[in-house]
Amino acid sequence: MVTSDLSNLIGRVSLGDREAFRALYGQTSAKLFGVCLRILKDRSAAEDCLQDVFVKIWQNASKYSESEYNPLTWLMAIARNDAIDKIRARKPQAIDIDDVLDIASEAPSPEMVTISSSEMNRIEKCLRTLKPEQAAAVRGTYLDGFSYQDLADRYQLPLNTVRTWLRRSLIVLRECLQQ
Amino acid sequence: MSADRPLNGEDDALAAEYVSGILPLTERVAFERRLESEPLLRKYVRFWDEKLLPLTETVAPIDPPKRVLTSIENQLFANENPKLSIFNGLMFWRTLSFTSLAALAGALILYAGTFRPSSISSPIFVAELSGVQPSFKLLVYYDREKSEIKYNRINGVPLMGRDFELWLIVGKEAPLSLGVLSHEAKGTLKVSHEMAAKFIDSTVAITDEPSGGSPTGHPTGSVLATGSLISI
Repeated sequence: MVTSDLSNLIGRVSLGDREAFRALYGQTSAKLFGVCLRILKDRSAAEDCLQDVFVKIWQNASKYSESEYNPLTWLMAIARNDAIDKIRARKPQAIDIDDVLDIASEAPSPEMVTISSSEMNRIEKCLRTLKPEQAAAVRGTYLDGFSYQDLADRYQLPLNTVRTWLRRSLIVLRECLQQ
Repeated sequence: MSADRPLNGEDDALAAEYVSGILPLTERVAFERRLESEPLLRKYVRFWDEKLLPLTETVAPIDPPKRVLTSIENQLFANENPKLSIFNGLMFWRTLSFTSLAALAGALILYAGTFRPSSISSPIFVAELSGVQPSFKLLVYYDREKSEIKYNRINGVPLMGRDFELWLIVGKEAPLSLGVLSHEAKGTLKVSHEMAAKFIDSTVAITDEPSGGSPTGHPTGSVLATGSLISI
């Protein structure tokens, strides 16, 4: 999956090219489905998510080139936004956050075909500048769709405190990512 | 890439919260509303989208069941009764309202000086079509004396074996074809008086169609650009 190929496919999709749409689906649906499922933790909800994501991709492909996004970043943002919208719209429900944190600390997979290892190293390096529980909270938020309530429950902190705490983590992270 | 971002701690932190996904739904929606009109905020969001993306490398790809693609294609394409296709989509109407506003500002500036020949009496209608397909831009000008639309395609070329077709959209009625554009950048389209009478407060749109134009009389392809017809 080369970046320029994905860009090309999205460009053709914006012109209503269904073959390109299928090819794009073939190349990216497994990754996007994995991310939807990781956030929603429910297969049927993740299937709905994936469907909505590709409908949005079809409908918004023409906005891709003005967005200045890398193609994979753009596709992933659509997928994560949809999944996060769905999980935030749910009523609060108990998630076994310990299980999730275990998954969140998995090592990166070796098959990093689309994201350069230097970018990968950068975020991993920057997360290491945070305290382990802060890094885990950032990962859990991004990958598992944690809410502030989830974090407050997990760390036994008042909601306001946990928000300040996570924001501070993100600001520290930004300082490192900007270097 | 974004090391030169201006400092705005509060909004940047908010963008980080938004991208990380932690914002409660109401704050998420409010933030997205701001994103529509605040380029700086979009820049913050892009920074975080790009920087955090590598975290998804830890998520294993999982093949979705085949039925998902079938449902997607059914949702998008099954209803190929052309007049029910893209023009009835919610996204289309949403996009239209945004681009119409943008076109209004653009068209007035573009045409106030350049395109108004002194021999032609009012009303003169103009439109700048842009927005849906960013690289695409078309200027449209209605010459009442000659009963024709002049157009000037600044950006965008039809694909091999395809044509651009111009449509008039009045309210929520089905789009009316104004004709197929030539492959030249500039050209004219004859317009009947009945058609011209509908120009007030209407919208024009360009779609990508099979060679020779839509076979059905209704738009069948993607909308590439839209704009409001403005009387000047």
